[in-house]
Order: sequence, then structure tokens, then C-alpha cells
Amino acid sequence: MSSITDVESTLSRISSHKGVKGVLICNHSGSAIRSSLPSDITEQYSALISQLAAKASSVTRTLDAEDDLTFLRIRSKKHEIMVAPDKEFLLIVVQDPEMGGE
Amino acid sequence: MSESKYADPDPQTDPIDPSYKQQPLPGSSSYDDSNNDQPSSESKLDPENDDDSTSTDALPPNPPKISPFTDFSNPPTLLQPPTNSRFHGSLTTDTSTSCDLLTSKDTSTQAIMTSSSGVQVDFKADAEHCKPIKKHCKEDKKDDENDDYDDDDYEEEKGGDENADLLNFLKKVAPGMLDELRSNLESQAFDNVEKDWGGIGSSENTVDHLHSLTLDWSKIEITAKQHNNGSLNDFGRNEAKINTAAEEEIPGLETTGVAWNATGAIIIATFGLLNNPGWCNSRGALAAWNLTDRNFSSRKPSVFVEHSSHLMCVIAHPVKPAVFVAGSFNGEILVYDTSLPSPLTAASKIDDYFHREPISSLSFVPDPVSNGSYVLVSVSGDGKVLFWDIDKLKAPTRGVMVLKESKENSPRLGGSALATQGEGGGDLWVGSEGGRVVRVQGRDKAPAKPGKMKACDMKWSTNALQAIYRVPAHQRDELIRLIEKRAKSDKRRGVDLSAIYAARPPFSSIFPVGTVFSYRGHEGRVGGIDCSSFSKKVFATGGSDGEVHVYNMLSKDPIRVLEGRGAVSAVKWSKTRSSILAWAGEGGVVVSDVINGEETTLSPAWKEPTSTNSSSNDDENLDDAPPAPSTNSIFSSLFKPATFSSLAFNGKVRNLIAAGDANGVVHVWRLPQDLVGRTNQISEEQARRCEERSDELRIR
Repeated sequence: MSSITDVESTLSRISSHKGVKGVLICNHSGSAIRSSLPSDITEQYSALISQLAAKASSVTRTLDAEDDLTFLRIRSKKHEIMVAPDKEFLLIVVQDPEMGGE
Repeated sequence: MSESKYADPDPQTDPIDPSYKQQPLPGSSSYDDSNNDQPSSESKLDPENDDDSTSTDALPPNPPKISPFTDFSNPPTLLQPPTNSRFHGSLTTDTSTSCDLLTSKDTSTQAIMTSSSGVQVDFKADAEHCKPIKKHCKEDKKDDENDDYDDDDYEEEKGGDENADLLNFLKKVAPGMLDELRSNLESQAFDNVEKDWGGIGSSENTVDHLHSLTLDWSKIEITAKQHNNGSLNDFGRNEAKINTAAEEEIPGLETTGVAWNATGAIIIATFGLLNNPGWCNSRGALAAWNLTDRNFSSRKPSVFVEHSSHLMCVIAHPVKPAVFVAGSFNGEILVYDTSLPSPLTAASKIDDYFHREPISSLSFVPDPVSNGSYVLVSVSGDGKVLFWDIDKLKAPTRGVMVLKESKENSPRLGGSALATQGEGGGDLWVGSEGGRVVRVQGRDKAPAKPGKMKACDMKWSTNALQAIYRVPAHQRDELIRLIEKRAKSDKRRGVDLSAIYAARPPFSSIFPVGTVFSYRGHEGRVGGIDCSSFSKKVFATGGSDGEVHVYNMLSKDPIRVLEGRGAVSAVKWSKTRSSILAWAGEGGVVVSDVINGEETTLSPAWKEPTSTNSSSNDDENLDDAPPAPSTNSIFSSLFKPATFSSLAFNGKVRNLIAAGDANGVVHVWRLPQDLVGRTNQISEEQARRCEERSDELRIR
């Protein structure tokens, strides 16, 4: 059970960071595993971002076979979506950097 | 590789279970329900934080009963311990269904739906399902050994605690993520990006005053002194500075020239006084701001160099992004490379055969002989137009005299402005202090590979031979004798360009008359000339009589006369839109559409510091809090009507224009799209698109 609390505490540490609007973990097939966001938004994020991350890593590896995607960030008008992909899971953090700055 | 999986939609995609929407999600708490809106505050996300918001790093003493993180992998109730088969069920069914998530939002609910409705999948079957994913990973990974190990380990791990996996994963990525979150808040990378969206409500159709670049003389003093000493010593010039920096008062210099570099990122300005009555014994300066630099500050230029006399004009090298050429009040041509610690790389001497008077204008023309290189053209108040190779500033390669008429003995014109046609080393247009505007023959008559002259005894360099070819035939022999005699007495081994000038040949023979045509001109000093980059025949002039003329190069009288609103000291054609002409002067900076007559005045309207990003950033960048003297000078300058002395369109970032004013401030504006776009049709199309977009928004 200790690993559960550790997972939770790490996630809450991230989500309590300035400007963070949501944290979610999903697997590479796009299903969410943990999320701090409402369910419908979680689904959208996990499904769409995991595909984008897959595409991004495929692009990276096509450009250079020895390379691989390690981090993906999407800057939008409202948010910055940051994705840390790993072999099994993706950590997705949605941040509003403007809000955090003030 | 991986996208191929997504490219083929699985035909077995299940229809959506209608019961799903009503069914409460596993683990979704009341907290989740209250947060339909995305921009929910962070404190809500983490209930723990409400009590003790300062210690965010503290671990919760007990596992929270209601976790803020919806655990989608768990079965419907949290009390029921997760079974592996369920978790895997969610994994595998989803693998096959998530493929068309991008097109249909509803299918994205599939994964959770199947897991929450408790589809039981046999563990073995599940493991088989999982394997393709693993294999897929393996194919892409390089180190197979490592992967094999994982593969063996895989089932055990899955059989074990999946939270351990999650924890390992988080341990790996969380520190990096936290770092990114932190740096994201501090990053200024996107500070000015928002303005460029170009959508509704953006600044697309208004003129934006972006920056007021100023020099804070009090702060620069010390560093500048070192710079100046360094460059002088390095360069080994004899001229001592007349005043030491300490004795000198902080000069109230004007901006005499502005230029954008080849990449459009750096703006460079020269400082001096345009109406210096006599001998100039105070310092001038050159400063460069890199607008894209993350440490950009409008009061701290990225490069600052002082010079022993006022600098009068500046031009950027058309290709090399760090190379700039400035002209000084004393007649020196100075080449700066801002990428070097000591930026002054070369300077011309002051000589009767070079420039003796303030250099009023500079221009680069493509070298007609060697492809890809450029010739520098300079004009000064002494009536000479000289051509230089900026790598060999010892002596000009050639020169022409600017006279009132094309006759030998007509008076010289003190050149005040120069324009060159973009292509070829053809004609030049020169404006004079007295208001004359003349066309000057700029074509080189000398052959590219001159043959040896009979009269030559010594070895002549190619440049020197070319110079002799330019001399009228009947004077050549005499001139060669004169030059060789001098060269021998100077114990030179051969004759090069500097040997020719050292021999003091008669002016008329070495500098032919360049004037070929005279235009109506102005009633006062010609402040600026510029050739259109679209039409080879069109050029425009601006004069202190307050008029702007647009000429066809073949006719004496202007084809259009525009009211300049006070003396005009710089004229520039837009590089992107053929009908746009801008001028700067007493009346401010005016951007005019020559065809339809619409004029836009760019005012240096000083907004409150909060409204411009640049100024608010400056306060952060400059550590010492209240920037006292410099802002005062800015504010006081606002109450005087600013007189602009120089102007430059950005060649790369098409909508930027810069102008320097008489108070030493360089202003940067962003022009609206309809003054920048290539044709009217484009801007109309953009307007249409804009309307469509606003319609869409309204419908929503």
C-alpha cells in the first residue's frame, strides 16, 4: 500500500505546483490511469495527447533512429501542456504559466 | 511505426454503452463533479493543501480517503481491491478501440467504459494482448538486451503491484516535470507571442508601438570607456581622444541612423548630432539591441561601442548578420562586427582622397563582378561618392565626383543622401545639402581583368591597374610616371591602391565626374532618398522644404509631390508592398500609400509602462529599482514634438519599422497588415477570413 501513497503524494506535489491545472497519467493506448481532472476532460486529454505523443516520438525516431522523444510541450493561448512519456505511461500536466507568474 | 496502429481503425469498435454517461465514474469524488470547468483553482485540486498550503512537499500522513486523483484503473468502488484482470481488461480493449479517438470524442470513453462495466478478461488472454504493445516498443528500442529482460519480467510485474510500476514511472519523470513547471513560470519566451495570433481582437489592424530603445548614458559610461580604449589600442590608430570620458558631460545625442541587420533580429543605431556647427570633439556611439534576445532590455543595448567623433549613419551588411558599417563625422568608414568582443574591425583613414567631411549616407550594392559579394558606397559632404571593399578599407577601390552639372568645372555638391538600385552596380542617386538631386553614373568602366599597361615599370596590383583604366587615356602615361616615382621614393615593392592615392594625383583624373542627370530637387537639404525595391525606375526624395517627391528616374519633374508635414530627414520605401512609402521628420513618422493617398502617422505615444510588455520587463531586468534619470529624459522628450532623423523597414520581420528621434530614442512599431501585405487582394482575403471566423464564434 505504501506505493499507492507514494504515487498519490508525488501527484499531489505536482498538482499543487504553481499554476498547475491538472495532472493525469495515462498509458500509451490512451486510457487514463490517474487524473485530477473531471472525467470527460481526462478522457479527451489522455486519448488525444497519447496519440500526439506517439506521433511525436515516431517523428523523432524517423529523423534520427537513435533519438527518442523525452518530453513534449504544447504551448497554447491558455495553457501549456507538458508530457513526459515513458515506456509504459505518460505523465500529462496542464499548466497556466500566466496565472502562476502572478 | 506506431502511427500505423492508429491509422487502421479497428473494425471491432464497440458501440458506446449508453449507460456509461449516467454511471458515476470509478473513484470520481464529489470534488470532481464540482469541477466541470477546466480553469479550476489549484487549491481545489488538492484538498490537503487548504490546511497547509505552505508545505506542499509534505507527504500526506495517511492515504486520503477520497483521493483527488481519479483512479481510472480501479474497479467501480475503491473499497474493492483492484484485480489484475480488470486492469488489464481496460488496457487491452482500449488498445483496439482507441484508434479513432481523434475523430470521435465518444469512442474515447470506450476504455473506461469497458473497465468500469467490468469486462472480465482472462489473464492469459490478456497477457497475449499486452504483448503486441511490448513488441511494438521493442522494435523501436535500440537495446534489445534490456528489453528482453523487461519482457521476461513483464508478466511478473503485471501480476505484482501495478502501483509499483506507476511509482517507478513517476520517480523517473516527476523531477523533470517539476523542473519544467518551475522554469515555465519564469520563462519569458512567450511574453510577446500572444499579440501575434492574428485572430479577432488582435492588433492586426492597428499600429503598435512596441519599443522605445534608449541609452542610459549614466550606466554605460564606465563600460563604454573600457570598450573604447580597447578598440582604439587594438586598432593602433594615432588619434588621441580629445576629451577623456571623465571630463565629458553626458551628451544629449540624437539618433543619427538606424538599421536592421540581415536577419531582422538586431536593430542598430548610431548616435551623434546632425547639425554640428563646427569641429566635432565629442564622442559618438553605436548601440545594438537584439529584440529576440531573452535578456532584451530597451535600456540596455546588447552591444555598445563609442567612437571618438559623432557617428552620422549606419547600414547593415545585406548578408552577414553581425556586420554593420557606420560613417563618422570626421569622414571615417567604420566596420563593426557585433559578434566580436571588440566590435570595431576596420576603419578608413581621413584623407583628402577619402572622405574629409561627415559621411552622410552609406549603401551596399551587389558586386557586379564577383557573385555574392557587396561593394560599399559612401557619400559625404565633400562631394565624393566612394566605393569600398569592406575587407580592405585602406583605400577606396574607386570614386566619382558629384557635381552640379555633368561638366568638368561645375561646382561640387555636398552629398547628403544616397540611394542605390538594388541590383547591379548601376546608377546612384545623390541628394545634396543645397537641395539638388542628381543621378550619378555608378558603373565601373574598368575591365574586371585589366591587361598590363605599357608605361608600367613596377608591379601593379589588379585594383591599381583598374584605377588607371578609369583615368582618361591621354592622362594615363603621365599619371603612371607620377605614381611610380612616388612609389619608388616610398620604397614600395609594387603599386597598389594606397600607392596611387599617396602620389597625390590630380583629383579630376582619379575621380571622374559622375553626374549624368539632374532632377528638380528640393528647396532645402535633401534628407533622404530611396529607390523602390519593386520598380527600377521609381525613387523618392524628402527634403527640409517639407516635401516628399516621387520621381520617375527618366524625367526631371517629380511624378508626385506629397506634403511632408515639416522637414523630412529620411525616406524609405516598403520592402514588401510596392505603394507604401514612409518618411520621418519634424512631423513624426508617416507611412503613406502613394497610390490611394492614405497616410498613417506613427506616433511615439508613450503608453503607461504597464501597457507595453517591454517596459514592464525592463523594470525586472534592471536590478536597481527606480531608473531615475533616463525615464525623466524619456518623459520630457514626450512633451517636445519628436523630430525623427532616421528610418528603417525591417527586411525580414516584415511588419516592423524603426525610427530614431532627435532625443536619442529608437522607436519600433509594428505595422498593421494592410500596410505590409503584398497586395490589396491579400488583405481583403484576410479580412474575409476574419469575418468568417467571427461568424463562427458567434454561432457557437
